Amino acid sequence: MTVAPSTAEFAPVAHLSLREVNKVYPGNPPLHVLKNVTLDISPGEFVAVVGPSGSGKTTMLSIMGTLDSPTSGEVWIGGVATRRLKEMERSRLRSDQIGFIFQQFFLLPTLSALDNVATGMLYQGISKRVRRERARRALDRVGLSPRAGHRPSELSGGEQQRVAIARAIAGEPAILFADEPTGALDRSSGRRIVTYLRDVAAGGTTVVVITHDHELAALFERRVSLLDGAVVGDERLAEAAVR
Amino acid sequence: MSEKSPRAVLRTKHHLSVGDTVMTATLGPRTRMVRALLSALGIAIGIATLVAMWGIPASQEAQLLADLDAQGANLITVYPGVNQQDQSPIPIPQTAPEMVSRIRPVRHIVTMRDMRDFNVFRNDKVPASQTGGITAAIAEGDLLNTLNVAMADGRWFDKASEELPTAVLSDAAARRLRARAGSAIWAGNQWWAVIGVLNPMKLAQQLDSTVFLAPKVAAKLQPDLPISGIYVASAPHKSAAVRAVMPQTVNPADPRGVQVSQLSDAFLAQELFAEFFLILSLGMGGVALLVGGIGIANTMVVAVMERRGEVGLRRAMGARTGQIALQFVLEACVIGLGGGILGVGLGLYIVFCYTAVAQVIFAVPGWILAAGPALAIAIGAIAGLYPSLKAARQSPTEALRTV
Ligand SMILES: Nc1ncnc2c1ncn2[C@@H]1O[C@H](COP(=O)(O)OP(=O)(O)O)[C@@H](O)[C@H]1O
Ligand SMILES: [Mg+2]
Repeated sequence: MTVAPSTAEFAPVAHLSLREVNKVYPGNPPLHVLKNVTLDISPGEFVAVVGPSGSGKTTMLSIMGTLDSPTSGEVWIGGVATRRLKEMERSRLRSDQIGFIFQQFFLLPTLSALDNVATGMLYQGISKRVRRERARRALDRVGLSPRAGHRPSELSGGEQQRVAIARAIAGEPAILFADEPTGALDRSSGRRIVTYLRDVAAGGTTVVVITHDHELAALFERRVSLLDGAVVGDERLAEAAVR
Repeated sequence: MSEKSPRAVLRTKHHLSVGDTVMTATLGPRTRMVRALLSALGIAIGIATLVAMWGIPASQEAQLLADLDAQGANLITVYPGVNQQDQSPIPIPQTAPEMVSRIRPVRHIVTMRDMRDFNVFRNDKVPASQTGGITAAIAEGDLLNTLNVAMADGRWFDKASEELPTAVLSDAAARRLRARAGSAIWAGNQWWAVIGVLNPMKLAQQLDSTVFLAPKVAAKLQPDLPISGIYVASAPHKSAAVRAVMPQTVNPADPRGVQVSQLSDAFLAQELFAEFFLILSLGMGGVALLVGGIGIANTMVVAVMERRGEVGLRRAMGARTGQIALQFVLEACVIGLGGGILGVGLGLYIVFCYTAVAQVIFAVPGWILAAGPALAIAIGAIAGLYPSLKAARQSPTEALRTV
């Protein structure tokens, strides 16, 4: 795996660590969405986060990805305490170190698959030529090279999500977060997506995936269960079942 | 590999290249071309109004300057002065035309004497109360060359006709009297044969409703008329010098009792008119631009709402709040620029059509080609500011929580 010039300024892979993380949404009554979550994820781990709807999975992922701040506690990414980072510093951290995949894909409808992937590195300070070159490679990794010139509307849901994966990994993030990436897809497309994500993790990237689907959750090395904002389970699955 | 601490690295910013900034800012308008065009329309109309209202007077002015050039010399006009104490006119001495014609750079001269109580009518049936604002005058000298005007019809006085009851009509007088060469008019209770009609006198519009009577005949009817004006055409580029000696030459006894003016003075009066026009159009253009700005603001509010997901995604990809704000402000500027370019084009077309119809030179000040789009961009920026800040200020999680 080649290391991006921008990420070379950091340790190439990052340890992710949550310490006593709480999230309370103000209101009447206040909503205690995350309760004392403490979690350590090592570089290159392939982790599923499971739990019923409303259990706080998305909130936890957002806080781990610095899109949101905890009410108390600390999130460490590669040795950086993120809670007191300025907005600008979080942006830089996200651009260089973190990739995101969402259930809704969020592809730009007028751009080709290739341009969508290249846009993923727009805020990384990489020249357009290099962005396109890496985008081509990333599309190749998700098996979509032949569709590089197609617009999202010309692709199936599974293919669109593969474009989104390519977009998230093209910038070579240390950590990849995916919030129900298979939620809008049929079972076989979903399985394929998880396989691609597992390959990404095998390449050294930490991959944290929220999923509803228990059958898909069985494909991960580790499964963290949330219930009402608390971690109620953290199992390591047999190595043999994964690879 | 760098020795910097992670925190120090995080404090430095990645910047978008100019090309990436442009591509990002034009993404919205490129995606929704029709909407962008429609929302740029108000600005376009406003800018077009401004361009047209600047270009039309400018074209008129250019034509006037060209006419001046065509004449080859500046025209100087001498009028009787006014006594400061009792406001009575100070007559121009009868010797003045003779003296003025001796100034060396003077090429052509014509002396005007307005007839006293001399009503001009189409025929002898028109009631005497309807005078129609037409002046009868005696023009002594070379009117055609001094005022650089040609005959539209018939001829100017010659040795024979100046001794007969004949008349030459100015353009407006001919139209009002519905007369042409060969007709007759009723003036000062007698018939006059019309022997010619002049073209419009661009250089002396104040003479344009005048009937010129055969000098010899009219002088016999009203001898010793005071001089009402002397028109002097000087050699090219000598008008300033001629003008300087004019008061002394016209009235050596009372040089300050002479009023000397140049075409440039008449020019100022026209500029005043243009200024009024300009203020009016500024008002109209301003309203159109305001409406246009509101249109862009509206489009941007809708765009920002529709593209919440995109905003969230960009934040997740590492865009700073400032970069989001800039993207949408620039997008509003792009729409404004589109409107500005469209407006300048439309405005130039209007000016072109005007100049074609009015038969004047097409002249639009060059700065307006830059100022129009620049103004449109500025309006776009102002209109886009609030929606852009709104887009940038929402938290990434909020933006991503869209279905
Ligand atoms: N911005 C917010 N303000 C108030 N409540 C919120 C907000 N975001 C999420 N919640 C609430 O927090 C709880 C957890 O939400 P979420 O993390 O999205 O759960 P999950 O992803 O596991 O379904 C839900 O009850 C949700 O309504
Ligand atoms: Mg969720």
